[in-house]
Amino acid sequence: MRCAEFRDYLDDFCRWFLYGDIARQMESHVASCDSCAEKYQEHQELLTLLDKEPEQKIDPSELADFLPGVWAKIETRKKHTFRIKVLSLAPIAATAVFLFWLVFRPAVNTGYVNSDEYLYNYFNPLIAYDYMDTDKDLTYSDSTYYSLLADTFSDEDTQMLEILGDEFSDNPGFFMENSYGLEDLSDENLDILNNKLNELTNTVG
Amino acid sequence: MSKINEKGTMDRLSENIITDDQAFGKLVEKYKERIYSVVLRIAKNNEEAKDLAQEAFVKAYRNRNSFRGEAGFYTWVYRIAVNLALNYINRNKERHSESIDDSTPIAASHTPTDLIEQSELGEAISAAIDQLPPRQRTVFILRHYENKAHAEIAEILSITEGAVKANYHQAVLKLKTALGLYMTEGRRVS
Repeated sequence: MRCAEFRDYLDDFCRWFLYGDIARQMESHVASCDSCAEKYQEHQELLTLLDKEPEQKIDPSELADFLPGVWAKIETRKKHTFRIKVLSLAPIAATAVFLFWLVFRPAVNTGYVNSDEYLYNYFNPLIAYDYMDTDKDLTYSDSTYYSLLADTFSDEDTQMLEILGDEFSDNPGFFMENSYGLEDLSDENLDILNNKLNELTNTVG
Repeated sequence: MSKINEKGTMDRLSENIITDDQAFGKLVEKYKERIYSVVLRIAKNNEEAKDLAQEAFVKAYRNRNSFRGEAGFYTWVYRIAVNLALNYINRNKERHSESIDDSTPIAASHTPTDLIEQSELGEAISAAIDQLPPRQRTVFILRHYENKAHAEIAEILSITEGAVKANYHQAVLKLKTALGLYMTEGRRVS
């Protein structure tokens, strides 16, 4: 055995971790090499000294509340993690709300009706129609009204869509073909429609 | 309960920790003292050691889904605990105002008589180990007090076996220097 190898195994040897051939080779080397014998003596001395150190004593009462402490930490960590998750989702939620608002914001606030003048002129004929209080004869052509209604409410107002949907559900094609008159709207829906138009017109007016 | 049966029970508990909090609690009760003991050796502070040992179990609990039972619950928590303790002493090494230069023997400033007066050999050894750099101290403690093989220490600390041997060798050299006078005195006395 060479000295380098002996020193590599020295600590194991001193701690009695070695057995068999390697242990015998170590014993033989230490008996024949003064330098390694000195190293062995020195290391053995250190380990002997360290062994004299009193054992580390642990008072069991110190750990009496150990498990409750572990559970408490776990609970705290769960809450903390939840808070972190919520906080990390906040920007995403805010962006989603903003995008939702951007898409579904009320018609009066959209870029589409940003021109107040345009909107006012747009609905005026319908309001005029309501004021006529005739037997629903139209001052303006049906096609004008329905084109305006279709363009406006199909995207902007759910309530209007419901009204139009109810009225034209049988044949939506009529609507686009201008063959369906406002006089076919029920009185109730006509009122709703006019109220809504008033409301919108007042908002922008 | 025989050791075999007890081991079997523990293995079953280990397998159940993913779904069963009660099983996890039993394992904590079973191993808390051993985990606390090694952390206390490294951290040298009762309150901190308890906190770090608890933290090791908390980490194990939070990552229990990744536990496959390959290494055994104890080995797993032990590894977490040792690394937490090592990080702790690394963070706090600046606080060791009494830290000495690598080449300065501790005993040089204390005669053996002084040490005995202060409170004996235990304190002298403890002080000498305390002066070691964090990694050397951890490696030495795992080797000397925990009787771990170099390969095991390498696995626990995620370093190479060569690095473990080098750290241990350095630690031993420093301890010999630090306790040199004490060793000579001890030899003389005995």
